[in-house]
Amino acid sequence: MKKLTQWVVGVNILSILWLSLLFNQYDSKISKEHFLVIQFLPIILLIFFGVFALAVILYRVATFNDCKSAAEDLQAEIKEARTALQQKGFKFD
Amino acid sequence: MPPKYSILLPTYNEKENLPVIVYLIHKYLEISEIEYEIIIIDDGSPDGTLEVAKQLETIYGKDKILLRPRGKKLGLGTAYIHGMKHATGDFIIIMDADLSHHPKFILDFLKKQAEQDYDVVTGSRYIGNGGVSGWDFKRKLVSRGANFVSQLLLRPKVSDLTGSFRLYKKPVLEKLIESCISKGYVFQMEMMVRARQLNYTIGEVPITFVDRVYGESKLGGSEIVQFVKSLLYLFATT
Repeated sequence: MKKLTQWVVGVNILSILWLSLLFNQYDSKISKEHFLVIQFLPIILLIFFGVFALAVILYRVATFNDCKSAAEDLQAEIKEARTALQQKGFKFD
Repeated sequence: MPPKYSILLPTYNEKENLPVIVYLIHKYLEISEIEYEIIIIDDGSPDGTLEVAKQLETIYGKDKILLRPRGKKLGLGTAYIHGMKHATGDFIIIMDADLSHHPKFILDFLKKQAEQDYDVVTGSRYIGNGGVSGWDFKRKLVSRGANFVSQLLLRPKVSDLTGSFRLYKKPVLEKLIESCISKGYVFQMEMMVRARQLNYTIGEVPITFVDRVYGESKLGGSEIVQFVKSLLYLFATT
């Protein structure tokens, strides 16, 4: 199954669950008492997910390794390479 | 017989970087007595990259440096196909010729591959000691954000989809290129997604990514648009 199909199926299942909750409100006490929450459930979930995603991304940005020494080491090795290559007869412009 | 490794270096205007990267590959692989060849695929660079490559061929020998230039800029995907035709190694290593990928990591790739006889080993900026150098907050945010979205939508089981420092078993790369439809930017992502689909085993090693030293680095609005297009394409088709 393609990823897009998986998402469409998933969203459909969730929609059906949500709609059945929404329209069967008078059958149970719980759905009656929490009608407001149920009504806005998709938006609430979306906001929760958005906050979660933002937190994860920002955490990963903050912990993204900054390899300063990698750049410095490379600079040194570039010098080394140029010297060694010139000794072997390489001509830089 | 010990395995042989073919390193593909597609170049376009890399006359400053090419000698350095060839020197470094030689430095790290020769010391470990690893058998290798470097295949340079130059797409008609106007800056004289090919002349530089010819000098390197003279210094390191025709068995180590193979020049397989093409007349004009034809793109990365076809450069790999072109280079692979001439490769005699058991494994193919693909890396950028602009020094953002350091050849010393090739040794880590080899070790990782041998651990579990992986079909593919891919470098990752997002794991272990891997990372980036010289990136500001915005660039890190774009990178992490793009990575988060691609993990969410594609679930590739590879932490770094857009990286292009990788090792493949030669027949595996041949099969993957055959099954990849996209060209350009998407190509690197599609290769990993298809590898998963075809049940190839993939190992990951941490790498550091250093921003290009010479020349311009490429990350602008058009790259982001291209990335989003690629992502949606793979989302809908795989």
